[in-house]
Amino acid sequence: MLQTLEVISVNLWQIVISLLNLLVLYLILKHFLYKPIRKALEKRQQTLDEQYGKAEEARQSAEKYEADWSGRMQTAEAEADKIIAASESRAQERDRAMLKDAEKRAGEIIRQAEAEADLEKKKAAQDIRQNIIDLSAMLAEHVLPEQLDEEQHEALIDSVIHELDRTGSDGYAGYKGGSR
Amino acid sequence: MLEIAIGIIIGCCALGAGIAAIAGIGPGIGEGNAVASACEAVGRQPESRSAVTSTMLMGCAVAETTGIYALFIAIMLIFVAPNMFVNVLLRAIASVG
Amino acid sequence: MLMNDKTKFRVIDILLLAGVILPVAAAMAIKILFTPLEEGIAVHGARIFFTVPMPVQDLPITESQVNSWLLIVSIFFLCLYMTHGTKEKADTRRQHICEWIVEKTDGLVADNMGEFFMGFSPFVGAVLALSAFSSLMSLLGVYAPTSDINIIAGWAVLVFLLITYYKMKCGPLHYLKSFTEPVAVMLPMNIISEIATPVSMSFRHYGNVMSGSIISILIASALQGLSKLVLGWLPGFLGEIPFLQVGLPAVLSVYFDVFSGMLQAFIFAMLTMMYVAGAFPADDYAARQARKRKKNV
Repeated sequence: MLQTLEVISVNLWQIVISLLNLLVLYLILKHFLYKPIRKALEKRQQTLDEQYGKAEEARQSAEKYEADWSGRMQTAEAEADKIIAASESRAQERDRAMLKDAEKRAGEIIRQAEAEADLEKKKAAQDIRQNIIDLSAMLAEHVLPEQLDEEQHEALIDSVIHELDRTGSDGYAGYKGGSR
Repeated sequence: MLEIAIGIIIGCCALGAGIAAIAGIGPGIGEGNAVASACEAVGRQPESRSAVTSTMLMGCAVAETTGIYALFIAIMLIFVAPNMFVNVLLRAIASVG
Repeated sequence: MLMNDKTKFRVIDILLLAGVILPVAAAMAIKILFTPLEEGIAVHGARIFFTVPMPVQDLPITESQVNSWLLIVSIFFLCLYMTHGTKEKADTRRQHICEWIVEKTDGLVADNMGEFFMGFSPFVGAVLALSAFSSLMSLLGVYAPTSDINIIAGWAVLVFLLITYYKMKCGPLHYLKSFTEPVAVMLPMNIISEIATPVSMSFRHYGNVMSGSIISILIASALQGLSKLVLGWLPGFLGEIPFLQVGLPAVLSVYFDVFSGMLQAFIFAMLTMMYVAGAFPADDYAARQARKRKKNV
């Protein structure tokens, strides 16, 4: 039968051996567990960093493209705005020109009509004067054939006509208003 | 005569072991306090449960040390001391006789 | 012989697993071979296989020594098995477990000791593994190395040496001066507290595991006696079988072997980290390094 130790017994060499055991286990764990796992983790970290770098690069280039395109879009929009504004102003100009033209033509027409009316009026005044002369001459021939000689006759008529002329414009205005 | 002497030795060792076990009161009260405080802390802040638990276990283990010393002495008195004292007694008798 | 890569991988796996299991099986076989049949339940220390004469004190090769050697061999093969086929891309369960272990111990060390001590991570892992697996060995029925005080005293002495080494980082004079702080009268107290550290560490772990195993043994023997008393009337060898020993010891073993063993392993590792980190005078060391650099320049 084998001997057994006491429940509590201290042995120097056993302590030293157990100390060395722990050291050996430390080395074992360090070299066979922590080292390979750390290496794998490091490698993965490296790959991860690489991937992230690549993604970052891609993102940056995409951002650059985006900025580029958005700039271009902006210039295109500005150009379109400019074109629209230009065409609008041109249309307005034409509009204005057309209006002016129309106004001018209308004015001309009115002036022509006025001139025509003037002419008509003058003609009418001439006619009336002639009629009056004729009438008065006839009257004078009939009413005062002896009392007046040729010269007095003429003067009288002239004075009447003159008076008529003076009031002619009024008479004309009155005639115009009456006709309306 | 010798039987009586050995009986006294063993009996006193057993008695001593029993008295040593009284030391268990101290760590008992201490750990009780620690656990009570930990329960309070967890009740106040349930999210810190794991941290409080590990700290409490650490503190309990340290507080237990005195109890372990008493246990150690009790074990020594039961398993080691009687043999030793009886041997001492026998050697003394042999040297006298 | 032609073998493709997959079969080769499998074969190596099986060999490594055999390397994990065989030492533990050998420990159980030794236990069975060397336990005398007529022995009942008794409280005693580790069995001595043979004694080697040594200068100061003879070295007995005991069950606990042999078991811890076998355990170390087993852990060695376990490491090889776990890291076998480690790839950059983790897709096997064992690699996930390994990474979890490495990251957990790294986090523990970083939390409790700081960045300066990151090299301690494998040491903490070793303390945890050796202590926890040693305590768990009692589940297999073999003598747990942690219930032998010499084993744990060895670890505690190693921790003590580490503490002293880190206290000496600022030079031996600084170390000696630290004993007379805060006043010179405290010198004996400081020396005692210095020695008390490994003693209390080893006694704490040993006491917990040992008391657990002693209580288990006492309860088992009590149950055996009770069984003989209550069921002794059964005919033949049926009366000899201690039926009452089924059940209760298993429940107790969950606490004493698994929970207590794990807790003590964790506490031993935590105390190691705290003592070593606390022993290192970081500010003085930084000042000393700065002074040295100035002198060199």
